[in-house]
Amino acid sequence: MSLAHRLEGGKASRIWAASYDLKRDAFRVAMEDGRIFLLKRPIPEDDRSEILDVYIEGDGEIFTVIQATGNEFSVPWDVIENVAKGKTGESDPAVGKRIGQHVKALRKQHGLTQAQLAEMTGIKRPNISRIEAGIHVPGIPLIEQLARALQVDIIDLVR
Amino acid sequence: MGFIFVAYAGDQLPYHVHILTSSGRNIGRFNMETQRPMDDFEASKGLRKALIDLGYMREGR
Repeated sequence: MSLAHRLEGGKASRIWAASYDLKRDAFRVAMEDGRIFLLKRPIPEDDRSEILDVYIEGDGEIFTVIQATGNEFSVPWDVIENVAKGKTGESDPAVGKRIGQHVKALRKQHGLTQAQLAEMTGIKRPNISRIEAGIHVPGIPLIEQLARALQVDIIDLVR
Repeated sequence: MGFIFVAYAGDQLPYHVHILTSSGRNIGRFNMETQRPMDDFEASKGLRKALIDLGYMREGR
């Protein structure tokens, strides 16, 4: 089990300790206000491979995980409680539908096919289709790629 | 003062960015959907300009 911890005091929004519990196959995260969360795997971006290291970064606002495959991902403090409760941001159909409509309308305005947009963004064509249909709610990094290709601000896709 | 903006692929809704100072101090989160801070901080003129330049905030807000 790897363990990372912070010794400084601070806000309730800060991570004090983060570790991986092999027996439970879960991340155990302690916040500076005393709350403790158990994040059962898999969590977003987790590729299910062996956990090599867990450490806290910055001001205690995220913990980062390194996996045996080289996959590395970070979990911000505000996601921890939602993930612990089994909630993620990918389940709101209204948001997915809204973004999908924006992407589809802008793609057509530019006279692009889904395949051309896929090539421009590096997002696979079936995933463009899923985004446009509102089935997949993309995270900000994907939205940034789409906004760049469609020559709009990020805000034009998320509102 | 410079800023660092961080968005996480697995982050939950509403769409937001985490804002840090260039030295790594956490300032708070900005909600792109409501165009308002999610935490207790006031966006300075410089921060507002950076948010607009990066496409996270609409001009005139």
